[in-house]
Amino acid sequence: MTHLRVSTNYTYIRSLRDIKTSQDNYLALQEKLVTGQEINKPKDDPVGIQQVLNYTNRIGANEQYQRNIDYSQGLLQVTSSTLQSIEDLLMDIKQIAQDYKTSVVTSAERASVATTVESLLEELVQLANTKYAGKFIFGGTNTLSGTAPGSSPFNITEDADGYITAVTRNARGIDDLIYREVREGHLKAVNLSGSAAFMPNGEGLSGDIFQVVMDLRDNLRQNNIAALETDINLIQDGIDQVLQQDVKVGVRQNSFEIIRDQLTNENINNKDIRSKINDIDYAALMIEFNTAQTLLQTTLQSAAQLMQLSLVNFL
Amino acid sequence: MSIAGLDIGTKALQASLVGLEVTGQNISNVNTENYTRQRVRFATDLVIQRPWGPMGTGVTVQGIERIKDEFIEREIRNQTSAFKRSETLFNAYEQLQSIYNEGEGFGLNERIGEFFNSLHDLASFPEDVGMRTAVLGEASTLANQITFINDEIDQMRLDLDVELRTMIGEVNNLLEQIAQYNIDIASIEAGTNAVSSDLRDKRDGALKELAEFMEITVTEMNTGAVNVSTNGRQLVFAGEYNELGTKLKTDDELVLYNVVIKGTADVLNFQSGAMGGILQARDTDIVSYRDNLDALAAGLIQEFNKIHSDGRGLEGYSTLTSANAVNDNAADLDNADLDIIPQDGSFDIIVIDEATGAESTYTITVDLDGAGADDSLTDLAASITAAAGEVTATANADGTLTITMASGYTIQFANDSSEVLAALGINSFFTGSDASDIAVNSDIIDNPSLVAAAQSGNPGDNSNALAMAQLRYSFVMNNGSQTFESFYQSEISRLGSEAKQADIEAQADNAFLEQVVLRRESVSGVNLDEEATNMMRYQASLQAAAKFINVMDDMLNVLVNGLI
Repeated sequence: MTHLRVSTNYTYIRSLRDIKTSQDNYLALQEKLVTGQEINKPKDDPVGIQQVLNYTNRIGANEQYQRNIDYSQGLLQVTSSTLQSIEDLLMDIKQIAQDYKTSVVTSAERASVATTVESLLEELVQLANTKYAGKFIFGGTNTLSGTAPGSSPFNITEDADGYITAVTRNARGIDDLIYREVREGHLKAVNLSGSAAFMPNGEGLSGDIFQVVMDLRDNLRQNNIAALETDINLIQDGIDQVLQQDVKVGVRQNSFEIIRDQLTNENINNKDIRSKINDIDYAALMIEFNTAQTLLQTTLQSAAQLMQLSLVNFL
Repeated sequence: MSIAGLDIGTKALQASLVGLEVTGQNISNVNTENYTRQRVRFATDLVIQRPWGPMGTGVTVQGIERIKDEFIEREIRNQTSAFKRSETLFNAYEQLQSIYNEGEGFGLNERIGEFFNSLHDLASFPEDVGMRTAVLGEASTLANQITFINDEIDQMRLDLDVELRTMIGEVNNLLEQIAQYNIDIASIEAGTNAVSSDLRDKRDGALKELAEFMEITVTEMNTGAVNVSTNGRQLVFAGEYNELGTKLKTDDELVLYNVVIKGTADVLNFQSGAMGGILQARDTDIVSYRDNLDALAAGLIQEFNKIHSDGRGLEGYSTLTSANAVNDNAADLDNADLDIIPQDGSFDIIVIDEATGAESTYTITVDLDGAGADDSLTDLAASITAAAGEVTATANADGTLTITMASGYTIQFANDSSEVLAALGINSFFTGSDASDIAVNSDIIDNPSLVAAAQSGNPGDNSNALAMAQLRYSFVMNNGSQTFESFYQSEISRLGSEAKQADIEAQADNAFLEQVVLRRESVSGVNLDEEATNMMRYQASLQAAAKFINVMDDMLNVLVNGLI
């Protein structure tokens, strides 16, 4: 066997390289311990960094979807409670009609209760113009009232005596649905079309609800008993339609609640995956770190001893 | 018995002394860079024919050798070049990684995500000016970060260029030195078989230093001089050398220089050494990242503008000027050097009477069907002006279009099937064309109400904001195969793997170089223990020679003095 000739500098160069390697390893582990991250630069894990960046933005988008739902829930809540108030109000009107259609009631009493119906009608128009956070909930995309008259979703015309003679819709945008993205690629409407509760939709009303109430009021005023029965049926159609809309809103609220729970779970999962890729395993790393420390100490010690050895010492 | 005995002793004494001196020289230069250990070559002196046979006349010093392996020396130069190249690339990639600053969560990735998120908040509250301001804030941060990275990358290329030009000075010094050593070595060694150990060590050192900058080929001639060439061009020929110089690169948007043989147009495309590394980083590697950043910026600008430019804000414009210019007002719009190429189609202008809020919609046809005369910017201006009395459109001398409304009227845009609005940068969201100049349209920054969240004129209409938010999942990058985010994320992944590759290569090249250096040390390096042993050996032989002379002297004394 031939032996490699070793020069004095050879020993130094080798020792220096060993020390540097040990130090690099030690410092790299220390950086991980300090940041708590496996990936401190893209080169640490080129595939991993792509996943980390991807999951980071997925988590952010998911939180945004949850916010979108939270913002929508308020509107749906107010829509639902408004629909219930409308339903209650229509029930009151129906009750009045039923009470006053019997022959024991005088025509004067009927004319008098007509003013009550008139004020309930005014209340109904107000409910139709309900605002949530300053925006009309039944106005479609036309959520803000302008300064011009007739710019609310539902506008009244009164006669000389102050009776409402017509309720006209501001047609512009009133039937537009407003969508929000509640999860990747899923657009969901968060409002009811302005006509849905008050206009014929093929399921309930055959005419608009305001007209039905106005007809009832006029029939009471004009003591037109025969027509009252028809009016009661028409109001019941209106109640049915409002109920249907309320159920729709309720279903949507539930589905948003479910999606929100799914999003929460998904994000727990997303964060878990990101953490598995990027977070250090402290226990394993501490062991590695201690090993590296011992190795560095040993390298330094052996280098120091090796370099002291020389024949010159013994001459 | 003859007097020759004394002669042998003297020669032995001298030989041992030379041995000791060379040992001393080796020991003194144990730490001298590029030093090659020396060894005395001894041989028996003349042999004389005597009656009883041939007989030696002692020792002679034949010469002092340099213990050197030229093959290893060449390997050291090649590995030095390779290592310097990979080290330069390694440093460049480390710097690129810091510029992109991903991995610590302050990079572009989150900025893109946050921008899209802010559009959702606008979609939830399309009536709000505050939400618009938030969107503009996120968009500006995103645009600023893109231009910041772009500028840092440009600066990096400029810095490398300065480094390259500084190196040329050092290289020229080295070439001059090598040529001078050639002259000196040739003159000392001429006609003898002596070796100019010291000068050769120094020249080897200079050649090694030259190899740090570029790949070189070294050929030694009979005279002892070396010829040096790189890239197929002679740098040193005996005592002559060609200086390097610079020449402006004409194919780059930055002011950068090529390396040439001074005074010629011979461009040196170094493949190795620090200069080879700089050329690779400056002209290829870094540029690929800048190009993709440009693609990202151009994608954002074009895709957002296509949606924004025919959307409607809370207010209209009383006047506006297009952000992009055509190269010729009379040229067909689809042949006018615009980033987005307009197509045959139409768009609507909506003229709003501010006093009453009344809106009038007019459809403007953009004729680009290739049949008959197509529309130019001048034609377009005329069509817009002709559409309504309150609107005046002018094709400006600089190729932009200005629309001015009569007092009390504003204008909005809708339903653009021709994409001419986005192409010209009318009612745009972003301005600019690439990473160097992407910015948010200053008109909408000055008046956030102009941010177009709607497609109708209704305040609660969020459809345009939603359409922009949905760009997040549109495959608009890399020929329709990637989203903005996935494009950028795979770019960072590419940066990671190339940086890792550069790191591994630099480490491997460093290890190779160390191996060769150790081999050189193994052959040419001084070992103090070995020298100490030699010292004892020569001390012993010197003592013995002295003793021999002493004995000879005694015997001669007996012969000369005792017999008389």
